[in-house]
Amino acid sequence: MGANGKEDQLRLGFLTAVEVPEKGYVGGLLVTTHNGRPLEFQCTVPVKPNATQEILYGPTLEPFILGELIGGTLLDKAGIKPHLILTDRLQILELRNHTQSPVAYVSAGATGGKAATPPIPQPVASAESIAAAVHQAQQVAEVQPEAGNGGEVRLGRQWIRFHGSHAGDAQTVQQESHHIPADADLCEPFERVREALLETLRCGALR
Amino acid sequence: MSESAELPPEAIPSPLQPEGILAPEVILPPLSPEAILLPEAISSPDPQTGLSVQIYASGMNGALNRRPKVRCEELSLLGATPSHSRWQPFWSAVKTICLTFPAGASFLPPPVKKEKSAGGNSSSDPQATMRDLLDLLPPPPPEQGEGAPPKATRIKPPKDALSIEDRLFYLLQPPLETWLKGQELIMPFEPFAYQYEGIAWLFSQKSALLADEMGLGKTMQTITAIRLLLRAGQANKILLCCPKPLIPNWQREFQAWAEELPLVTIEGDGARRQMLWNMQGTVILLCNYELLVRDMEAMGEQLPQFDLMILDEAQRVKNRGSRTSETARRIPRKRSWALTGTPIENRPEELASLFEFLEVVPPHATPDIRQLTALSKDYILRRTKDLVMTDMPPRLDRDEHIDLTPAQRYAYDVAEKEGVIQLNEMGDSISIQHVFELVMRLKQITNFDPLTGESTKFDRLEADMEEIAASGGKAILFSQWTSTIDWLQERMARFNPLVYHGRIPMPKREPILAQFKNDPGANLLMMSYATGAVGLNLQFAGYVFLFDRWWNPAIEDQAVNRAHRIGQKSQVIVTRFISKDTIEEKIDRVLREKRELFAAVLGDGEATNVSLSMNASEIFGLFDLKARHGKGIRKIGPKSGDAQEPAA
Repeated sequence: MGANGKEDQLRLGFLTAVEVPEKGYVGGLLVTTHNGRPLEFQCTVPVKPNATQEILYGPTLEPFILGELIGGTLLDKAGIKPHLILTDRLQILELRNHTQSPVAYVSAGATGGKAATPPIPQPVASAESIAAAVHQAQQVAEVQPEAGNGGEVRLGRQWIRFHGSHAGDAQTVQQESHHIPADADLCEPFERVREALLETLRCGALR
Repeated sequence: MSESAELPPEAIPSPLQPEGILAPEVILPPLSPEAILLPEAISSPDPQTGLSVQIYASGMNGALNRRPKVRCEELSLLGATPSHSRWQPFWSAVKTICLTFPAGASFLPPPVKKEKSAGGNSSSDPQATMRDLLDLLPPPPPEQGEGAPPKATRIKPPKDALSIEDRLFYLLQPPLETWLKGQELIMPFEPFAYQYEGIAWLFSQKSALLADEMGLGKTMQTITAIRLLLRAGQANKILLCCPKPLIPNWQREFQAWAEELPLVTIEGDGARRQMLWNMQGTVILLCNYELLVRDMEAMGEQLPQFDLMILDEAQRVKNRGSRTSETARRIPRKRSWALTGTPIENRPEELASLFEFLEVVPPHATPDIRQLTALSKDYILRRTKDLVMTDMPPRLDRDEHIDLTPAQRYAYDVAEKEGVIQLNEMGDSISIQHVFELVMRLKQITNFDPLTGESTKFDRLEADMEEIAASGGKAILFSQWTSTIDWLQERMARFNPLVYHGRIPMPKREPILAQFKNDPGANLLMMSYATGAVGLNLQFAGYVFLFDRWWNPAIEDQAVNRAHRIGQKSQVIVTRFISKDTIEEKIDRVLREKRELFAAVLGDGEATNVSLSMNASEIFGLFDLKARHGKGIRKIGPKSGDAQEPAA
């Protein structure tokens, strides 16, 4: 890792993706210090499924592309590995099934109180059930978080939530949460990632 | 193993089976022309199999009734035969682009200054005390339902950043508010919004001229931008050059805003300075212009390299041909910043010289006004108090037009008359220096009569100071002459005046400023324009007296802005003494007209920016100088080369 972050310093990975019309999904991972200073940035070229893949994966297509394919690739290729991966896309929680690091969902609307966060996927046996949960999340506009999910932790100004099948993540992150300033805005780095992705697309670097 | 076996005729498929039933291992003989000619024979079915049997006219049909010989051989398969076909979705490997951020410098945190007294913990520094108390507080819990995201000043990629790596580097930096609130970068005070913008702009610029009006915090913005560059790994060695009197000011500001940054001041004898220039591991070098020129010339071609070079009061390099300008341009560097409140003091060409230092125009380029304007948009950031400090206390200017005392008037008239006569007699041989000497002599008389010591300015000042001292206020007085300041010091003794000018040794200057700030009995600080007009923070003073006038209103503004700057809590009253019917009124009129002219051309917001000093023609014009020319007389003016040269 770079000298910007000490080995024992808590590193956060902000993972998100944007959908580009007719090109597919472009993912970006920004690894920062606990203070939000950037250490490394990775982004993918656009990933677009063909018709056969869309038929084959059906409703599990997005979790697969965003979580496993894009998220997994970005995490694998990251030279500086984050201790905690945060995402603002629910589908990317699927990545937790393919990595040892905790993955948490930060809701853009969940500043301050626990409000307006969609339900988190419960322990799943198959990709279909993840997709069903995602579909359900998209359908329900406002659902109060319920007990029995992957747990919630207050981090900075936001509540973050974990994958239902990895309930221990909440406790792990809770122990490290004191490293994050209480007024840290965990939604802000996603804006940076999205701007960087758009800038990269604008410059034609992702061809 | 090889084996032959007889098969019953029923098991043998006929080579003439209909299409689709024909066994693949039996080869059909080619149809003969006769068969084509006997279509009826083809359609006759075999009675046992029900399949059609072709009868050839040539008699080949007999062969069809013989049992074929079948032989079995065991052959190994070339590959595994799938029991069923399988399809797998194929995802090609996802390509990625990676950007790693350079490692930034890390510094030891400043030592915690805590003093323990018998009564418990205490600190002599109120700010430190406040910090200590704040440290004891638990982190504030976020309020439930707080919805508004914190204010964010984002760093934008500069226009000249072309590579995607460069652009992403700036885009992915956190908002300044977040960065500066981090545990690594403690700010003693919350910067204003425009200061955040200035810091973000400086951080991203390779060439930058920060031209904020005096008092808006150029120093603090620069120090903070330096801090961020060091932390982000964008700079490791920085040279900061400033006028000599401002060295203590910069040292003090670094202490206040970036205590953790190691600052080395270039000073001492030649050998020591040489050692400091070449010392490994130095991060920020602070140097005055005179030593910069001297030391760089001594080094010849082996100049040290810097990641960033900053010129404070950058109008010092306004003349391209000066040694200071040439030396500054010679120093190898990656980034160039210039700081000045007056990017143009006299002529637009001065701006071109600054741009040449910033390396945004080629050497010796002469950009016209339109090009300068275009460059200014990209490389100059200027804010005025009117625009950004709407809540700042007002500055009240009052011109005190006062009569000379009779003794002063007599001395003045005599000096003027004799001086003009002398100049006229010199004819064409007079130069700007001769006229200048007369102007200076007359100006000094307007301050006080050298014979009698009478002075209406002093009388007015004394009256004002009585009120100011009675109310516990503090005033700053500026004069062009140290002799005037010394003369006033004796007469203003009851106000306990402090003196700050070029003849005061450097080590004594800081204590004088500290006493003026902290001693309630010290109500008056008297300074020379040359020494006190720039870089000092005296915002606790509410009154400014301009005892005599400088040649350039920009310098006067700089002087006034020692008091009228950020942190000023009350209005600042600026008093200009102008003696009636004297050279001071003429000078004031010329400067006022020029200021109005440029305000009209460049806009009101820039009126203080482009304050032009008087040139030689205008100084000659202060007197009605005429020389005998044959039988008549003709007007005397400056030599053509001097006409547009500024006097100061």
